[in-house]
Amino acid sequence: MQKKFFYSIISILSLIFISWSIIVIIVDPEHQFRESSSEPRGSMIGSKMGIAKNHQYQVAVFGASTSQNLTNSDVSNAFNAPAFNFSIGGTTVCELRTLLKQVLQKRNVKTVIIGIHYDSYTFPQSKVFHPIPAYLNSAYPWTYLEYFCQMSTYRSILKLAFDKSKPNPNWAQEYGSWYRDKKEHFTENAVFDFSQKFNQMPITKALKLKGPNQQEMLQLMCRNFEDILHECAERPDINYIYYFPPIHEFWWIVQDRYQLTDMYLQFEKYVITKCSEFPNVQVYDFQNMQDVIGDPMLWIDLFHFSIDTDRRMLSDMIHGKSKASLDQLDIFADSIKQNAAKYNPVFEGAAYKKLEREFYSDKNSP
Amino acid sequence: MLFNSLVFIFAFLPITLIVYFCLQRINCSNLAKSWLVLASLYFYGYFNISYLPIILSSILVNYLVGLGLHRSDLNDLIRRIILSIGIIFNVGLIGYFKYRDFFIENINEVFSSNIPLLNILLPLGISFFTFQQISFIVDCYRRTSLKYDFLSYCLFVTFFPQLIAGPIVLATEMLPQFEDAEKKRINYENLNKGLFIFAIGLFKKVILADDIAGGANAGFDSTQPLTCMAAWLSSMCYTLQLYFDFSGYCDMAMGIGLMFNIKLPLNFNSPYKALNFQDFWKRWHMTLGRFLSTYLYIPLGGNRKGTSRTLINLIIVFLVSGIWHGAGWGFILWGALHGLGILIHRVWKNAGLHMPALLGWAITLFFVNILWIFFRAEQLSTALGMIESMFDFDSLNKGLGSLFIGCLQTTEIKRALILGIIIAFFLPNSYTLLNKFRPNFITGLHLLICLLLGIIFITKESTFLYWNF
Repeated sequence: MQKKFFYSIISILSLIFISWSIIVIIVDPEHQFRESSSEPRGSMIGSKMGIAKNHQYQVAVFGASTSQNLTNSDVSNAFNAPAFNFSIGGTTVCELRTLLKQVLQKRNVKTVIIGIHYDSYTFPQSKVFHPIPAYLNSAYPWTYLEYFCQMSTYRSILKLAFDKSKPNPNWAQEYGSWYRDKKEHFTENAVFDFSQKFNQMPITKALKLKGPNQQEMLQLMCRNFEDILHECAERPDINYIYYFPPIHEFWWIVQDRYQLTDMYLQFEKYVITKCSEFPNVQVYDFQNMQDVIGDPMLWIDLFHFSIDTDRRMLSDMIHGKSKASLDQLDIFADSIKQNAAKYNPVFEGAAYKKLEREFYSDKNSP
Repeated sequence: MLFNSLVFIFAFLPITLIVYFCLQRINCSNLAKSWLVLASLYFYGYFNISYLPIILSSILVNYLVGLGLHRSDLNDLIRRIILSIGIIFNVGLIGYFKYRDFFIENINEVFSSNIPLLNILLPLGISFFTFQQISFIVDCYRRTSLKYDFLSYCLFVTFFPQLIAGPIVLATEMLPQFEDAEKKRINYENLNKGLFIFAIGLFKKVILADDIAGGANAGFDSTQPLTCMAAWLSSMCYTLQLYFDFSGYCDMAMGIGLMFNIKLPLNFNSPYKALNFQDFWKRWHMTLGRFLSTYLYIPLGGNRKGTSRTLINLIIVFLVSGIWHGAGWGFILWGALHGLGILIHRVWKNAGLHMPALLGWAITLFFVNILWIFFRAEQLSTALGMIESMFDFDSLNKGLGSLFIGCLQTTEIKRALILGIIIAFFLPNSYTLLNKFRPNFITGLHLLICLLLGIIFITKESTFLYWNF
């Protein structure tokens, strides 16, 4: 009886895990559902490298969560060459560079696309969330097991199975638009909920960067970018495409309110100027897509947009549209100011100030 | 390696178990033991390989001391000297690695000196394997422990289920089990029971302790003063977190032990159902209590030398317990206050006074909960601040405050908190469930649910709280 019981339990458990793993492999071979936030970055990178080992690719995409939606198939179709996306949500510049180096060493890549997410460049050089090298050279089998066993995977796959309206495993569509559901445009509550829920308080962050810290931060960002650019200098045979993905206009408005817009735009100016020294580097700027950055229907939060925008960006890259230029940047700076002025009454209103006061008096005092 | 990690559950444990019983089956008992020792050392070194020389040298020295104490040609004085050397070595080892920086910090504070701290990494489980080995050499001195070969001794110390955070086992209860021929064969009843209690422990750790931790952390890590309700809730969260974390670990350890046919001693017996402080210490970390009682309280005279000496002995025991838990004034104060609690209970009992059970339970839980704050807070000032907030009744009208409203909106914390309260206060403990274990459909279903939930909710590797001690 005891023996039968033991083998029954082990068999049932094995059966559940094996069948589940097969479903996961079939439904989500590229770990699109993998949660980046709860994942040690080393495993994440190891997993990427591990999966990439089984792929042929000539185009490699790097970046943060804002680049994760450039799917392998979309990029492959656009560039007419096999592609692999190595983007990792919340990546640091150190991780990005390590990954980039590894890929360039191992594979004969022809095109490298790098999405520039400002936050990635604000980390100190040494900042890395997990020791990377241990995982880099081979697939890290436990990342698969972790992925198969994670509750989030179960949730995502089951949701996919039962919710026919969202058949695409792409996370941007999967999670739906919180903002869209709110059906609010820019009320005081909306902007606070929005920023607290998804963006680690850009306002708090903005306040921390007031004054001389801004200059230091700008220097750090430029230094970090130079490090990445250094890789391009070493491999002139590869075409590099840097791009600035769009960010929702609210984010820019908040930055403008705290006089931070200049810091970010100065950084972009630096990127454009530096890249112009290299014939194999192109820079695209999608921040000024007015029909995108002001349309709440296309956003999940202030940074994350839907996959249609990614496809538009790819199309622009192929057709040489939306190339970044210093002139265009000035126009963009003006448009931010105009937008910000439009919302000034909201910021100056008593309701907003009350929310702001309450928020800072609790846990978020800068 | 953590019990609550996939690499342990899916690879380390099954491989170790299968190889161990295969070797036993072909009558290679010593090889099987060696395999278990190697696996245990791998388990230990997985965290940090630099810990290995420390534990190995500790094993070697203590074994040699044990050998010396077993010699029949030595007179009592020499045996005493050998025992003293052994105890000094063990206390010195733990003192150096665990308390040296604490000592320097206090010297610097008192004498305004600037002696640099060593910042030595605390070897995992040092408090546990040191106490375990002290018990071994004392037993050798008392001649209550038999003489064993080095391999068996290594296995006694390193046996991985109890290596890092106990239970604190005795040589006399472990070594005979390793030699028992009956225990060298696969026993399906033990395998089932082991799996069952392992699943319960995993559930406690992953579903309850890790989620409740969110509530505790929100309060203890807050830089802002808490409202009265938030402080109480936060301390209650920690009280439950610590229980489920440590008892979850012990359940898993006991379960793994059973899979190898090794019965580890009970470490928890529904401590939050205790009706007084003495009762609490009979139910909480029972093997530490047993150790302190056998190797400290009784040698100090126990209750044989009058009331005042008994009370002093009790205070000493609890001070040592506090110091054992960690190098910090918070731990020492925690130990001293528990000693005081026991002392008051003893005086109360000696005076022939009685208290209704429900009131006794409430008072005990109230003070245990408050005293855990010293255990959790990193600074004494934080602990005192938290206690101050708990009695800041003016803030009652502020409810939980915005900090906790946000925190409790998390479904996981709410779910775990409610479930935790029900399990800790109203349901039978895992040991009772183990004793009632029958291999039937209902038990199988419970086992599968606990195991599956435990596994799929492992999203990150979180260490056990008692690993810090």
